Amino acid sequence: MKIYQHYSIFGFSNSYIIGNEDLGKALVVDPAELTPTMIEKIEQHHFDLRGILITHNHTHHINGLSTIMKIYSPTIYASNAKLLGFQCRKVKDGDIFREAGYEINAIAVPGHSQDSIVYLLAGLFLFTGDVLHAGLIGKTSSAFNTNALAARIQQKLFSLPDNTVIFPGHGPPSTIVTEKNANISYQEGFAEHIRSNYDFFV
Amino acid sequence: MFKITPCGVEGCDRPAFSLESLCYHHLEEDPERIQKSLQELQAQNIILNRVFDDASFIGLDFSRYRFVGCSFRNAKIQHSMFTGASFHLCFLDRSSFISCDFSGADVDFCSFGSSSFMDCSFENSELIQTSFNGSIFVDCTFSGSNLYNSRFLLCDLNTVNFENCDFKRAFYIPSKEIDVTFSGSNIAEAVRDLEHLYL
Repeated sequence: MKIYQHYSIFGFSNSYIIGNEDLGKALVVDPAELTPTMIEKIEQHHFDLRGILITHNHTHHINGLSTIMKIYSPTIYASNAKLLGFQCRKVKDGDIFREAGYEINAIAVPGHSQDSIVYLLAGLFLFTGDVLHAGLIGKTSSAFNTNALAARIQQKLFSLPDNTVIFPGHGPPSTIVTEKNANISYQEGFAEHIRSNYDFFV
Repeated sequence: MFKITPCGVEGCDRPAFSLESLCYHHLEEDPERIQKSLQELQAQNIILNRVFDDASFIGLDFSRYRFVGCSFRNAKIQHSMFTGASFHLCFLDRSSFISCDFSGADVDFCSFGSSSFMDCSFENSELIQTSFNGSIFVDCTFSGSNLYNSRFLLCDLNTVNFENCDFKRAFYIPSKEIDVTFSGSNIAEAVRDLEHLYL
């Protein structure tokens, strides 16, 4: 398995290309944009781009869809029916599907956005979008929602094996064990501390 | 990326070491085999997709080696050189580094979370989009390093030099700080409190 991380200046977000060299197939996660470098990665390995995994519908995670769909014909997996006018294959919590030769588990973790869903690939690599970053959980619209999201993450993601690798939508990667030990959002009073950051247009 | 292959010993849940069929713990019973495995590693400059979890290295020289998609979790590394080495998409969580030299290293999109560093140097390194969250640093230097988009959340820092560092888009909210110096650094550009976490 080859994983390429692409850092986009648009929203300072991470996109990923996951290549299955044995089958010559690839997936893209959260295309903030489609750059010549990303196309080069796909083309130089002769990957057939089979699927796009969308963690949530914020523009800086999906904006590249329009360009991708002009060049390739992948299936878009999201918890939305349509994104930027493109039909998606709707996934919901607990769905398990195969794409590009990999088994993918969809885990819904709403809170940062209503449609937030994370993908566990091959039982080891977790693409979390904005639900969980290195040391931080996603931004929500209230202290209540922050506490609810923190509890949901504990229940649904921290129950995964400690060595699960986290590929977030922003910032550096992490692992489940490090998030259990060093996530600032689980410090007492965190939700109240960041009150001034809440707004309804996240 | 690395692939976890379970250790060949029944009941052992540790991952197999590098290209071996056993984990490092079980390989330790055969020091010659470990030696051979390390020699095989050091014979190449680019080390791709290998697992070194639970390993214990002393006095190895990996200067200017290139590590891509490797895992060094729960490793104990002492008196080793990674001078000018590059790490991309590597996971070094919960490891311990004593007297290691990473000066001039090029580290991009890696995690050193919940690790401990004692008497280590990251002088003049590129440490881009890398997590040091929850790590302990004692007598370490990052002098002259680029820490763009890296994170130092809930770290315990004792006698650490961040002089002349670039903190642009870095998150720096340690849980403990003793004798930490920043002269010549743009620490004001780092996110330093919870109020500004999501700005």
